[in-house]
Amino acid sequence: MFPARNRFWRTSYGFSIAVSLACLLSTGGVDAADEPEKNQDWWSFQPLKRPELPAVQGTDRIREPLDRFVLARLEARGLTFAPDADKATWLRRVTFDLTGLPPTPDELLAFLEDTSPAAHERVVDRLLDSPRYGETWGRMWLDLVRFAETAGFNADPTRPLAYKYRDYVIRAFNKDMPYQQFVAEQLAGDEINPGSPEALAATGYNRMWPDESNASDVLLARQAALNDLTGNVGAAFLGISIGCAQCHDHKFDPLLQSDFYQLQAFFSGITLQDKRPVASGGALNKLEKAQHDWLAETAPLRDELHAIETAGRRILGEEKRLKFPAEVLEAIDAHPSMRTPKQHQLAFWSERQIELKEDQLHTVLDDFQRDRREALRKQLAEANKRQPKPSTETNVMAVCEISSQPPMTHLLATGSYEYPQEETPPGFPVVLRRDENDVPKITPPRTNTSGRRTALAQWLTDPQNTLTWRVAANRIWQGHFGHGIVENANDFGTQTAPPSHPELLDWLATELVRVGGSWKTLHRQIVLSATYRQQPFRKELLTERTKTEDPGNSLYWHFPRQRLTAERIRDAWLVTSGQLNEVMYGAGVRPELPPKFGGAAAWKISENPADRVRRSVYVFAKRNLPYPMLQAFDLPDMHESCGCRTQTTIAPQALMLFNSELVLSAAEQLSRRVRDDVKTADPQAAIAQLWRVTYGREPQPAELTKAQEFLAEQQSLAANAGGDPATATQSAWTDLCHALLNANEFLFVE
Amino acid sequence: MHYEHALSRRDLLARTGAGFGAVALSGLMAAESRASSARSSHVLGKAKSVIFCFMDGGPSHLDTFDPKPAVNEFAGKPLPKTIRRVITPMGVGENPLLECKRTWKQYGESGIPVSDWYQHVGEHADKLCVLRACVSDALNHVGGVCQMNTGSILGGRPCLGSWVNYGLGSVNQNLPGFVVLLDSDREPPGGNRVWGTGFMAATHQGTKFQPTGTPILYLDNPAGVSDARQQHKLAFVQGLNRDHAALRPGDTELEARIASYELAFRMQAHAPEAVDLAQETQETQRLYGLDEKETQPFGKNCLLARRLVERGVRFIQLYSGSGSKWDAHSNIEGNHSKYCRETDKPIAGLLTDLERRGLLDETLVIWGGEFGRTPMSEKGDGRDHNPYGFTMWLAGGGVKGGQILGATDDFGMHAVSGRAHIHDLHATMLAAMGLDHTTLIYRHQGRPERPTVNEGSVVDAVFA
Repeated sequence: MFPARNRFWRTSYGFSIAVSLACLLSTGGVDAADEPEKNQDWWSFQPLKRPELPAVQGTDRIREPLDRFVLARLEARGLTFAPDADKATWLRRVTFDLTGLPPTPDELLAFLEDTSPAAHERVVDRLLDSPRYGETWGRMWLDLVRFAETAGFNADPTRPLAYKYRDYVIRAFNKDMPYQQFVAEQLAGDEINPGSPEALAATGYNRMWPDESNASDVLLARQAALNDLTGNVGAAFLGISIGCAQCHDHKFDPLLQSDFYQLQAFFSGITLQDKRPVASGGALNKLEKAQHDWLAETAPLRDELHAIETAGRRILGEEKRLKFPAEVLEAIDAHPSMRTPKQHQLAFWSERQIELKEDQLHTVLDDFQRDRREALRKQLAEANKRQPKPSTETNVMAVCEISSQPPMTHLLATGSYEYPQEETPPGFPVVLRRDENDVPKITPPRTNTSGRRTALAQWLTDPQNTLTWRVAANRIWQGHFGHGIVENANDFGTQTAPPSHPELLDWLATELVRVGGSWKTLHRQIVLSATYRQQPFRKELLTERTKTEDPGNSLYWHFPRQRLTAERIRDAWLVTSGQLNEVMYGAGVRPELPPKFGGAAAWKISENPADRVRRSVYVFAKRNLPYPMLQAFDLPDMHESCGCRTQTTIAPQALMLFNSELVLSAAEQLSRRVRDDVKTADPQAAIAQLWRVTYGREPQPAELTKAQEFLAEQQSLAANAGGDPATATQSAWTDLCHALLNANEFLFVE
Repeated sequence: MHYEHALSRRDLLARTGAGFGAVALSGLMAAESRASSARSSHVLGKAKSVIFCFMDGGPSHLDTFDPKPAVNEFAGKPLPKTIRRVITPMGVGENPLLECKRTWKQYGESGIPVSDWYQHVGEHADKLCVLRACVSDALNHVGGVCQMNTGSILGGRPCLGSWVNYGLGSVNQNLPGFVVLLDSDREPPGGNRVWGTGFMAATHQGTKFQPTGTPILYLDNPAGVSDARQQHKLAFVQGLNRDHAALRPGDTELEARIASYELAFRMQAHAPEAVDLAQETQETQRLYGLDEKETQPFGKNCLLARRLVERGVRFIQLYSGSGSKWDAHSNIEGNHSKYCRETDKPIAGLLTDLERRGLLDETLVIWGGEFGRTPMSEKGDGRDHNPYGFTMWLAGGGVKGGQILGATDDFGMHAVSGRAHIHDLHATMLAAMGLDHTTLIYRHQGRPERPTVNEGSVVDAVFA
């Protein structure tokens, strides 16, 4: 069929025409021969080639090759780069950018004093080596995979080991794991590197879908999870909205409904492990062998016990079982070691709904069964003592496969599992295939796994893949400049405007391939570039030319200002007030909630106060109760992939920053800290330190004066309200610090 | 970064308004751009506000607005074989039918039958448009509540109140445009994302009013900080921000943040007044049942809803039995007696009050839950979930009262005629507000998203 059924309209054809035509087509109103011209020449489906570096006039401004692409476009419009930013501005920018935190006064001083030509490089090296880097860039990846530590829906049960995936992501970024390995381990770590605890934790990626713990329709729940996963693979790795092709061919992009199910087929064999023991390489192999032997030895015992208990469960669970169709009941009743992959999946969704209490089972067995069961249980308890156990207690949430023959995937009419159509083996979206021979090369790496996901990972990370590298390079650029070269980082299809700088994007994508998928190498080139080092906007930069040629700064004639993200705002007030606890990793922590917040869903705050001031990336990611402090500043809602956060400016943000006890108490601690830092009673020195801590610069004389006036006035207001002089002084200092934590200069980076 | 040319005044206002209602101008402009449509073949209404009374957990249509004599006739026996079997959460498909113990009365000129559980609401029968063939896709509460709010059983989409605010803006610049009122400290299934915006900008999210004390989170000064200190500190922050913005002229984001602090403080001044029920006469308070223990909590919320409507709030959602408390899997008599008693008089009072103040024509009132309940019994004296056919009613806001639309089968199991899927309900509710669900579009990840997920059509018969 390649490339026969490619339906496609360019956006310029107009939305309404495209919709009505697509509707006609999907209902068979137009004969296939009359279909509109097939469009495969959309830019993102074209082969990735390394562009030539363009010639520029202002060669003296070039610091990195990538600057040429930006400057050439500026020069073509009669524009050029803004002058370099001053050192303090650049330092605050790059420090927030790479670590999510502001620079400390010491770091500021050291950088200002370092007049060597390599001063900037030294800073960048220091920041990229900081473990804070993975915590902030890993967070971007967590947005993409809708990371959460709960399953959502009504009960919103905790996924106790989901955090191991988050920790994997942070570690992967910190060690600058090659992107191809990062992609492959998430999709197929169990196949590629079964001896690596890290690679197994990575497969938690396949488990990030929201899930209903008491889903009545188990087949629907299974299908929903697979659909969600398929859509996410499209969005996160390929930047295509293939989720839109679940019920019908994509309305705008050349993506077929069969593409959706062919992509899904790579995942059809996964079995879901909430708690998989892991150990390092050789140890794990030995353990698995020993476990296999132990299972074989105890099989008769366990089989007999299973038969007795299954009979009891059937009687007891009769009412609960009623809602399940025969296929699900067969899966439940099958002995776990005899289940097919699909039965494992169905049991995953159904068994938890019919769990019984031990004492209930006894009530329905006859005397013989009861005695026999007791005897068997005793024997099994003995045998359990000999059961090989992992040397460490480490478990991860993971997927694996148990067979080289995964269940068949069908194209589903209208997206419903009730209407299966033709069988769809694994395959790549037609429009992304290089040629007719670009089919998955599937070889099971072992007998008990299909190798399908490995084949998908290989194709995705092939240097020739037209999307993977462009999508990744765009995400990196977006992380530094606030918006991507492609505006919608999760959709490189026809509904998104073409890239603002196509050659730059392709150069970055090929560069990412050339440097072996090292994100840190790209970060380094970007943050040391002239494009990045430019001054932020000031009114003197506004000329007739900039106004008319590029009022929105899409060509980068200055560095774009960005509001801090939710995590950066919270982390910044924690770190400036000296409260931030830099402990890494582990299950999500639960800071204080606003009074009476969340009702019954409210969490119990972490017992250890130090846990409540951990970095925001470690705050418990609860789908039904996103941490309100973060949610107010546009934390994504953890149900869908988020490629670029929305940025709102809403009054509740002002109320929260201005009236919450948490921020006020941070202000108080900040006020003590700056006065302690300077070791003098001179308020001017403490004010200057406050400016360094929060704004990352020295205050202007006028600012010093205003701050001192404010202190005096605030002190008399507090004294008038009945405070003693010492308290009034403290209140005034708290208010000054609180004002700075609320100020735009603190909340924006430029 | 945005410049004077990059963002229109409307964008600025919308950003600034921030769920706290942009000024009327932006509301009007938004309505103009998003709502009007020459292509719409439907009558679009002129309602200005919605009050959605949500019976959380699924009220039984069979015992309130959809009488089925055949259920009592077959009580104790299974559904006849002619009725198609369905999946229910508790697997009650073959359970004996449960008798309905209600007495029914036909009310008003229209003669709409209402059970004794809703006798006060019955007095308003001629205002009601009873939709008896509503259909949802959800078997369980969380999906049901999610779909009734967002159109989808899966999380991630904006809810109806967000769409209305996105489409129309708010007419009050001192209050949120979308307010949620719960009758207990338990939230509905799914938690606060039920009034969240999903992929839409948070500007349009619902604000849950706190049941006691100040209605909005962080509205009060922090403990121990006097008004004078707070005001002076605010002036200092705004001074810092204005100095900062002066060097960066034309940046609408910076301006919006300055404006958001001003809004926050206007809200601080106005919200407490809006929720001050002491301003209402004794007679009005009694009308809503504030003088009786059972009806007081929901009655207060109904009265508060009217006050918010008067102040231009677009969408007010009241949850009765918040936290799935209407979910009568057993002892439906006890359960529904309690919750109908709690809501009957307050809702009737609300309809009376809106009418006598001339607000009913511009206020759409909705009653219903995420689904109805089965004719089959569960645990002997309860009923299971029934998304296959259930009742909701609409009143006010240009709706033609005194009519029944659609029907379930003789047992109230399946919608059989005049079927109204939740997408149709949403299309209809939006139409009452003057919004065409096919042209009300929010672009998300390149896809033009509609409130009705590309489905649904307006039930035209709802309107006169």
